[in-house]
Amino acid sequence: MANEMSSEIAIPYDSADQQRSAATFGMWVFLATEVLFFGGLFVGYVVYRYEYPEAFRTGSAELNLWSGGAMTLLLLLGSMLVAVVDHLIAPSADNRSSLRGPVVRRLVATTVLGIAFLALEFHEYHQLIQDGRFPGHAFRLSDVSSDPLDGRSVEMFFTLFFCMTGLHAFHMCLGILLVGGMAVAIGRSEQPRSLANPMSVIGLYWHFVDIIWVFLYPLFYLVR
Amino acid sequence: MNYLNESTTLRSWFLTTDHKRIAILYLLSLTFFFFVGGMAAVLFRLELITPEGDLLSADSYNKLFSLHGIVMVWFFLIPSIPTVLGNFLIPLMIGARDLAFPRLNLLSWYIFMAGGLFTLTMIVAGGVDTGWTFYTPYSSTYANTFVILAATGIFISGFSSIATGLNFIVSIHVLRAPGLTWFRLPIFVWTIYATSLIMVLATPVLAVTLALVAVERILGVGIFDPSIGGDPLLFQHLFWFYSHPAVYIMILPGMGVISEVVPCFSRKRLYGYGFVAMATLAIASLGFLVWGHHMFVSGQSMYAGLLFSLLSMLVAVPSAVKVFNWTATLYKGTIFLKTPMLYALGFIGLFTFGGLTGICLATLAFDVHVHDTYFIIAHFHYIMVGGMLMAYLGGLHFWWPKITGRIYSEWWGRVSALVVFGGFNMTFFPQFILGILGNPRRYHTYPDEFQVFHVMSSLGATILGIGYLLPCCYLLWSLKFGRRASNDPWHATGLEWRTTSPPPKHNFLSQPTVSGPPYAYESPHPELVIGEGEPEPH
Amino acid sequence: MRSHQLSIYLTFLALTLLLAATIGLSFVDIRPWNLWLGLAIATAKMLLIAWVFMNLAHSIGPVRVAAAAGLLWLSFAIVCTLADYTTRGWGETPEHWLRQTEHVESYDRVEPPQPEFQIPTASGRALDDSDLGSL
Ligand SMILES: [Cu+2]
Repeated sequence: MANEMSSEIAIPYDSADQQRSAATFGMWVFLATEVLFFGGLFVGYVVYRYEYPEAFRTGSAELNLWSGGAMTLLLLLGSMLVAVVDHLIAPSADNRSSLRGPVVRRLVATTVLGIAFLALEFHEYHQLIQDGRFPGHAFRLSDVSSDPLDGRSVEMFFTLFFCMTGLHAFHMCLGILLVGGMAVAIGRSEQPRSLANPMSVIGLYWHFVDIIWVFLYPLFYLVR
Repeated sequence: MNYLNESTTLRSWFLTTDHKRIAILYLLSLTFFFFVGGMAAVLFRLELITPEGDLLSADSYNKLFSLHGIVMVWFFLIPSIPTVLGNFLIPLMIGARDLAFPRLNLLSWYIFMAGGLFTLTMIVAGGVDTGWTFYTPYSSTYANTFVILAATGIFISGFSSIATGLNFIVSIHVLRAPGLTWFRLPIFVWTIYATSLIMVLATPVLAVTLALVAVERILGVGIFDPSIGGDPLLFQHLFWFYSHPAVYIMILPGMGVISEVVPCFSRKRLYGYGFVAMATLAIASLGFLVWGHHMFVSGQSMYAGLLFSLLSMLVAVPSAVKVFNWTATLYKGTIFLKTPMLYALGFIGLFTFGGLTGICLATLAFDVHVHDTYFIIAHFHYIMVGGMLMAYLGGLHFWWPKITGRIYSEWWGRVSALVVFGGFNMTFFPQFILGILGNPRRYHTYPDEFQVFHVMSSLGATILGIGYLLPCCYLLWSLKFGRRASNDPWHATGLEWRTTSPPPKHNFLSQPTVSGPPYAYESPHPELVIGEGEPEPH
Repeated sequence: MRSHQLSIYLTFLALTLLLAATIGLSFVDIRPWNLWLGLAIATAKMLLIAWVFMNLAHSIGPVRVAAAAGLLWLSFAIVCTLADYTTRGWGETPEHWLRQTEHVESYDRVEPPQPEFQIPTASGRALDDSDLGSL
C-alpha cells in the first residue's frame, strides 16, 4: 500500500499527508488573496453606502429580492453537495467499494445548480438593462431624480452592483468549469480517490464563491 | 552532474520545474527589464542637463518617466530578490527538494512574461503618460495614452507575484527539513515569508483597482467618476493600500540578504536574531496601515492624515531595530571587506539615510512643503536603489559561486561596488537639495538656478550606469574563466552551503537535518581565507 | 464518519433558516439595525460554511490563520479608508486649540510679491490676461 501511494507523491514531498496539507493550505492562502481581490470592491461599497444611503435604498428596491433569495438557496444547496463529495472522497473516509456513482451524481447536480444560478442572474441583468439601469449613456435618470446628484448616485449603486456581481459571476463560471471538469475526471478515473486533493481544493473554491454571494445578497438586494 | 548541465536543450529550460532554473529564467528576464527601465532614465536625465526642454517634448518626457516607473517597479524591483534569489535559495535554505508547487512556479514565470509582453506592447504602441501611479480622474477620463494596455500588463504580472508568494508561504510552512524549527531559519527565509505575505494580501487590491480604472475607461462611468458621486481619492486609497506595502516587498528581501551577508563577513552570530525576525513581521503588517502618508495634500481629511502620520513613524521603529542589530553584529567582528560586504555596508548607510528622510516625510507639515518635489524622488530612490538594488547586487555576488559554481573577480567586484555607491550618491543627493529648494517632480523644464544640481545628478547617473554594466561583464566572464567554487567558499553557515556548487537537480544528495541555531559563526582562525575558490587541477 | 455527513445536512438546514431570517428582516424597518443584523446573519452563514463545509473545524493552525488573515487585512483596508471618509468635514483648522493671536493691523496691507520669473509660453511671450480668454 505504501509503495502504491508513493508513486503518486510529487517530488517535493515525503508523504501523501504532507502533500495533501500543502494543497489545502495553498488553497486557503489563495482564498485569502481572493478576499482582498473582492475586498477592493467592498471598500468601495462601504464608502459609497456611507456617502449615499438613500441611493442604495432606491437602487435596492429595483432588484428582485425573491430571485436573489432563490439564487442564494441554489448556491447553498450546491455547497452542501460539494461538502458531501469532499467527505466521501477524502483519504480518511472509509473504503467503500464504489464511490464513483454517488460522487459524480452530486457533482453534476452542483454544476446544474450553478448554471441555474447564472441563468437567474443573467435574466436579472437583462431586465435591468431593459429598464435603463446599466451605467453609462443609457442610464435612465428621470425616475430617480429625487436622489442625490439628480439620481446619478443611483447610477453609482448600479455600477457597484454590476462590478461586484459581475466579478462574482466570473468566479461562478470558473467554478462551474472546475466542478464540471471534476465530475468528468472522476467519472473516467480508475481510482477516484487519487483525485481527492484536487477535489478538496476545488471544493474550497466553490464554498468561497458561495460565501461571497452570502454577503452580496443582503448588501444589494436587502437594503432598507 | 548539476542542475545546469543535467540537460541543456532549450526545451529543458522552458519546461523546467526546477526552482533553480526558474530563478535563472527570472534573472535573465529581469536584467532585460532593468535595462529597459534604465534606458528611459538615461533619456530623461539627458533632457534634464539643461533647463529648457530641448531634447524631449513635455509629452515624451511624461511617457518616459511613466515607463521608467512602471517597468522598474513592477518588472524589476518587486520581483527581483524574491523571484531570483528567493526562488533559488528558499528550497535550499529550508532543506527541500523544490518549492511546494513546482509547476505553479514555472507558470508564474510565464504569467510574468505575458504581463511584460503587454507592457512592451504598450511602450511600442506609444506609451502611457499617467506616471506609474495612474491617478484618477486623469487616468480614467482624460489621458489619451495606452492606459488599458499598461494596466493589463500590471494586472497580469500581479498574478505572477501572488503565485510566487503563495508558493513560498506554503513551502516554508510545509517543507522545512527535520530539526529546522522556525527560530532556526535564516533571516532571509523570514524576510521572504513576510514579503510573500504582502504579495498575497496586497497585490489583489491593486489588480482590482486597475481593473476598475479600465472599466471606467471602457464604460465611461465607474466608481471613481465624480459625475456619479465617485471619489477619485478612493483610487488613491486603494492604490496605496497596495503600493505602500509594495515598498516593503522591495526592501524586506534586501534586509534578508544583508542579514546573511553581515554575519558571514564579520564572522559573528547575528545580533538579536529574534528581534530581527519579529521586526520583519512587524514591518510587513504595520506597513499596511500607513498608506495615507501619500495623500497628505490630496484632500484627505486632516484627522486621517494625523493617524497615518503617527503610524508611519511607528514603522520606523522595527526598521531601526534592524539597522541597530546589523551594526551591533559588526561590532568587534572580524570584518572581511569582500564584494558582498561592501554592498551590504553601502545598503546599511543608504537605507538609514532613506529611512530617516522617510520620517521627515511622514511629518505632516514638512510633507506639505516638499510634496511632489525632487525630495520625494531622492527619498524613495535611496530606499529602492540605494537599499534594494545594492542588496540585490550584494546577494547576487554572495550566492554567485553557489548559483554558477564559479568565483568572479574580486577586484572588479569591489570596484563595481564602490562605483555604484559613489554614482548613486552623486545622482540622488543633489535631488534632496533640489526638493528642498522647491523643484517639482515630473517637469521637463526647470528654472536656471537649479541647473548645477541637475547636471551633478545626470553625471552621477552616468557613473551609476557604468557601475551596473561592470557586473554584467565580469560576472559573465567568470562563467567561463572564473575559478571553480568549493561547496562553501565563504565558510558560511546555512543549508545552501552544504550541497555542491552548483547544486544537483534535487538540491541535496541526502536529506539534510538541522540541530542548532543559524549563524553559528565563531571567531575565525587568523589565517582564514574566504572566497578564493579551488585551485585549478593540473 | 456518518455523523459528519449528518452535520453537513444540519448545517444546510441552519443556512436555509438563516436565509429565511435575513429575507424576513428586510420586511421590517428597524434602521439602522437592518444593516447590522443583516451583516451578522451573513457572518453567521460564512462561519457555518467555513467551519463545516470547508472543514475549518478539523484544519491545522496555519489554515485557520490564513482564513483569518484575509478578513483581518480586509478590515485594515475598510477601517483605514473610513478613517478618512468619516472625518471629512470635521473642523479643518483646529483654531480653538491654538492660542489666540493679536490682530496686527499693518499685516493686512501686504504688497503682493513681484514674480521673479515669468511662465514661458510657446511664443516666448509672458502670459497675460488675454490668454485667459482662449481657455
Ligand atoms: Cu508609503
